[in-house]
Amino acid sequence: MRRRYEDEPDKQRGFGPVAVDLLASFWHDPLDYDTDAAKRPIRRTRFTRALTAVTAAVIGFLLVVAYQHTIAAAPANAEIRDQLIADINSRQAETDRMQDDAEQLGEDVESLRDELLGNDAEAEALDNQAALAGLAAVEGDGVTVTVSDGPKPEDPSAQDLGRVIDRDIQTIVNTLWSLGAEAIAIDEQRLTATSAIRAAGAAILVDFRPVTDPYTITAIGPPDLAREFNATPTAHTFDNYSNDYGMGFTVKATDDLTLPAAPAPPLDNAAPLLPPGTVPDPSGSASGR
Amino acid sequence: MIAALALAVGIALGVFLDPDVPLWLQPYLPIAVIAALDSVFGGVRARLDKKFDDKQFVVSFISNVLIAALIVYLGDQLGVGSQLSTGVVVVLGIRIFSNAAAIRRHLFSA
Repeated sequence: MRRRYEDEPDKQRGFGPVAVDLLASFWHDPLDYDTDAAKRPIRRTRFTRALTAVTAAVIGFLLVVAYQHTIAAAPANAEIRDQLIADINSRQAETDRMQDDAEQLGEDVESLRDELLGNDAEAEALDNQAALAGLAAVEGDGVTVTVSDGPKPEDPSAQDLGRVIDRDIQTIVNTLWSLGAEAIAIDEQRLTATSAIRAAGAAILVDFRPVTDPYTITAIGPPDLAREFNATPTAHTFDNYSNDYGMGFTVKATDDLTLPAAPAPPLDNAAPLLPPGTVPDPSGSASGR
Repeated sequence: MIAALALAVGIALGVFLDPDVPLWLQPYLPIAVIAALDSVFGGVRARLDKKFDDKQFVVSFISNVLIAALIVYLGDQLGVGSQLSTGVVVVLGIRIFSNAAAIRRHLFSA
């Protein structure tokens, strides 16, 4: 390389060459020291030496400052991430605690209501409706459907056909509803009329809470729910998935299932009707949005 | 020799003073470091070539840092700061490597 450069002392300068030659010229002419040093006398006085020393000191200073800056930034980033993780964990714990509180309070409200009603038939009707709506825990006989991801393909770029996706769960749940299931839960998450089963990236979310492989779908319904479910096209389809792609799929009639209550849905648009005689909140916080 | 001593003094100063980098200066720090490294390697190479010139060393360092900073500043204003930074790093990086190659040839004749 170097010899070639020396062989062409007066190589062409100017705008002509292509982009590769631009990089090549950087390589061959790294600094301007080379160009006409022979013609120009190099004078070194005390002043220029001092300038060089100052510049060298500045360079050293700069390098250290940059080094320390980088070192200082690294633990800060890790610290921030740790803080975020701690925040997430504490918020999740707080959410769980508040959820428990809400359930406890809901039970209190229910027992107080039953007391006030003093009418067992009416209270029972209300309880039944709450159970149907998914707002109360229920128990009964039914079926447990378990689906799980098949083995991953050996070629990582190949499509993973054995993976359970949100639509698989939706199909199974809808089939169970159509067979007369009265209550369904996915991984202990009770479904209501407004529940959403959807995918976010690779995760499946039920009411915005992630559920994980293997997915256990429990349903309470008519006595022969398991047999009827096995006779549906859905079950056949999943049997085929199981044979072809290794997806796990089992249907089991299960007695004495207990399904938890779903959290009460928040009211976004509707406002509770105030009983006659009460003064509406002047700020309108409940309905004025 | 003086330059090497001064470099050590600068490093010591940086270690002892431990200055805070102002926020507005932080984007230019990496570019300034690359330009400074380029000047150091260029200076060592010129010294080994017996072509070292104090004036050229000082002026080239200052102008390199200023031009690199100007390019980054312009890029930031135009919204292509990272791309222009990459350009500066590539050009100066090539220069550093070729200067290092020249130094290597001088020291080890290889």
